[in-house]
Amino acid sequence: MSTDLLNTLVTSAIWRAEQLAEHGIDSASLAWAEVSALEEELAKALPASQPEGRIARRGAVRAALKAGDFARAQALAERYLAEKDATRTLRASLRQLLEEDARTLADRFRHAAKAVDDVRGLARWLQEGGAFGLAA
Amino acid sequence: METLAFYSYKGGVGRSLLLANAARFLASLGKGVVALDFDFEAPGLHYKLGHAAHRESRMEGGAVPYLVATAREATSPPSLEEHMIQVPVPPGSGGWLRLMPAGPAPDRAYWVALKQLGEQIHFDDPSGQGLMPLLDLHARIREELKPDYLLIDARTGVTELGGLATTILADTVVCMFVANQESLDGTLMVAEALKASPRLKGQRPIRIVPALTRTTSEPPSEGPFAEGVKRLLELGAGTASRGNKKEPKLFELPHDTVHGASDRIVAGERTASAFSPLYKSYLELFRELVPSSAQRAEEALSRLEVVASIKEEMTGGREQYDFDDVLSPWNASAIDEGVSYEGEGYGQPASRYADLVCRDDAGRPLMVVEYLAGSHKEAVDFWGQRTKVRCLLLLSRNQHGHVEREIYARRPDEHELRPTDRRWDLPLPKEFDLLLDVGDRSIEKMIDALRRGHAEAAAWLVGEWRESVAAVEGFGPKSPPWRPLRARRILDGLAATEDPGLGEQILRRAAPGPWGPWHPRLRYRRKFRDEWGGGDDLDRWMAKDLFAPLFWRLSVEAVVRYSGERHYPGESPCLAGYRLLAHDLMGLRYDPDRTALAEGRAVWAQRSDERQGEDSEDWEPVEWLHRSRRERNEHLRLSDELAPVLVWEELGREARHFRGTLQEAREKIGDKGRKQATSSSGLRRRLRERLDRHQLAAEGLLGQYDTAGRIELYPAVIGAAAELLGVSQRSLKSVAFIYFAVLALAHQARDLDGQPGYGFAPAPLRPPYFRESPVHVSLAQCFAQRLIERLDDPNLMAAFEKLSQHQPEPYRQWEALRKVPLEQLRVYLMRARAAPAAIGLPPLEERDW
Repeated sequence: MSTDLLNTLVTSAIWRAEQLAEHGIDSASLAWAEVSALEEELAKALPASQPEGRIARRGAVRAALKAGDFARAQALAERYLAEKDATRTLRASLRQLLEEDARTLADRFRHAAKAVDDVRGLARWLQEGGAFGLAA
Repeated sequence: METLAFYSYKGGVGRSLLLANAARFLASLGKGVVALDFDFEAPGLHYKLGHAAHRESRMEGGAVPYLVATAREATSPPSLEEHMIQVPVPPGSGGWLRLMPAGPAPDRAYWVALKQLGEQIHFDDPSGQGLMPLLDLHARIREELKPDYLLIDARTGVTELGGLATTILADTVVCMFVANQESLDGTLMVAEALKASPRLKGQRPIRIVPALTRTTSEPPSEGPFAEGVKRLLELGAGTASRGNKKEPKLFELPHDTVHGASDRIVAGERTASAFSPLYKSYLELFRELVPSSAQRAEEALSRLEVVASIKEEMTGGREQYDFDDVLSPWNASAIDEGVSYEGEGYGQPASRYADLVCRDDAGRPLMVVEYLAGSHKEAVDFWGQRTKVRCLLLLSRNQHGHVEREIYARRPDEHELRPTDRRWDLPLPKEFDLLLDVGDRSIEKMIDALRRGHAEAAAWLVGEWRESVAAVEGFGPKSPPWRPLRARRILDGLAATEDPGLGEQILRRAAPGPWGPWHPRLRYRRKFRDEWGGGDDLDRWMAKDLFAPLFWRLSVEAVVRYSGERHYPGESPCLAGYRLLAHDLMGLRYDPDRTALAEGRAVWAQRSDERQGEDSEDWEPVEWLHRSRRERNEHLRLSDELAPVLVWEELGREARHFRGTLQEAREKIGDKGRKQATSSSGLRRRLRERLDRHQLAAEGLLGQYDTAGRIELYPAVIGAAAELLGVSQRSLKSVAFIYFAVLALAHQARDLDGQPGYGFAPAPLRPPYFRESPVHVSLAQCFAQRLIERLDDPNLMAAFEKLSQHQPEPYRQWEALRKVPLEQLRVYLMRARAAPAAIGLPPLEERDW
């Protein structure tokens, strides 16, 4: 698929997701997931050294976070951070995206804000091991 | 904030009940406590805590609605207050308790909310969106409510929420299990997982406290179960509480059918009825869970244990002594527990906590029991000056941990409570009627009560008499000390009773067995047997040294009543009085029951021979026995009739040549003559004439032993004679009774050959100027005198001596026999019994024995 087509698709997908989110429609997260998928495709097509490639990478992670799929966002971010040609600014912005998400979570649950750093690790432990971690 | 989670692998272990008790207990210690119900699939904590408040408030909040609302609201979290209930705590404790129930279960709205929760929150969401609401709730409770303790009811089994409540939220997890392998294995698996689970930054390692619940017996000490328990304890030891270096302990919570079944939350209650083995175990567990509460838990436990034991003792839970059956124990409904007592009188309003308040039938407080934490003086001053209670029991523990009792008492007209000598025998309700001062339950005070008509005192006195002489038989090291003087004081006090009704009660109480197993006194006997190693022998002592003297010393009217009235079919009066006289003094055997049975069997055997082949049952001998007893019940009577000698005298004036029977003579003189003869002036005149002739004590004037084998006394004559002699009427009557009883026994009782004493048979007719044999009379008087001497009753002796002086010289031969040894006297008696007739025996002076 050509990058032009992908750009066209991702532009309309972003517009659609923003509209759905603005009107409080539940499927907004699905739309953001679609955006993330398209941005990921773009990122595959474009190297991190190019500005478009960096934008696509940031877009894929941000859309995954907006879709509420933290695991995917984290996986994508880890993958992009590991790329050799990733610039320092890209790496910083990717980390910032994840931190912003954590801050949002901490803002929402401000009494437990201190636990935000640990909570994702615990959640992963629970996801992998089930109740009491017995299935791990 | 310390977070304690209560977890069980299997349900039905009493988890919620333990949590509810722990919450209330901690609140009663002045702590702030929040209880959180995370058992979402089967919520029920609100039934145990704050059920009434939950129902009244119609609250729709709770943990599930709160979490759903949190998941929805991105910025403004819901108010905690809306989702919590304020649970009442013991007044004055200073603590508080709030419950966040799971929700408005079992309403439909709850299950809808639970469904939404499942859809909206996924605890394993890697973004932390699912876990954060839980952590936020935990943190909000800590920061906004600032409780000292958060108690979480974690869900049974292996669930995400249960896992989170225990692994992430809790500092301490109480792992509850029952005594079976399945429950233990599951618990062990979870405990291992808890130890390996990750923790948040700054969190201490989880402390695991294993608790074996619903125990009915000791858990096995060997095998897989014991191994599992050992492993569980090792896990617990690895996470022992700070500063707690003790060996890990398995807490056992016994099965409690009362508190457990009723889900009663007893923790924090100071009432004795709250005490149970389960509560005791709870407190031991709380001591471990919250080391800072150890002292308070200890105190609470100690207080409840002592007060519960006292209440049990007061309401008759312990084995009672015989007299307690009459001085009955307190009725549980007459005892209020845990009363905040408002003081009366002038001055600042004041109140004081009483563990027990014992009331009379009208609800007036009589006695207060207080387990003392502070000073004795303060307590005594308050109860003495600000209330009208007549007795105060202060309980405390000494430095060795032993319970000490102090009983204070006062008379109703006194203003201050005084310490008493009483310690272990707690005042019983009836004692407040019997005694003005319940602190002084001395013999004298009880005898006073008896004089005032309280028959219950007789029962108590008899009980005391038994204790005073129990040591005589050497009942072992546990037997009470031998106190003969005390026993004697009791006997004299009882014997001085004037009222015949009370006298009868005394005789009933003093009568020893045989009793059936239904008889309450059997318990007392069992006590003697079990604790003092005796019992049956004591009955013999009681018969001989208590009943028999009372039988002769109490008023004759009392004896008549005792012998006559029956309380149940087949009851027969005790014969110990006659036996004392017959066996111990006269050397004869008086056993009418055995005689009647023997006769009955003989008759029955004869009749059976005649009625060969007929269906029959062996009832006739028993029938005979009953007949004998019926007759015996009428063996003594106080007659309104004229004494025979007076009848003959009266008739002699009108019909000098009358030759009929005594009955015919009585009919002949009629009522007019009878009245004339018994008028006080006429009677006195006649008796004075006899007194001058020294014939007062002869000729059957005071009474007679008649041909029907019955003793008949003439109270009118005895009364007039007593007046003339200057002795008490009662004593003279008793002396007459004793004398005629000697005659009756000399006739009826059997000797070694089984023969009755024909020589003492009463004359079939009492013709005018009948003269009794001086030999027989003297012998009878001699035995009567020896009995009176043995009774050691100065009144009886005085009456006997006065009476004896007023009889013709030949009849006063008993004085010559006073120094004759008893065995020799018995020989004389045997000879007199063998004599063919009572009349015509040679006089004693001839020494023709």
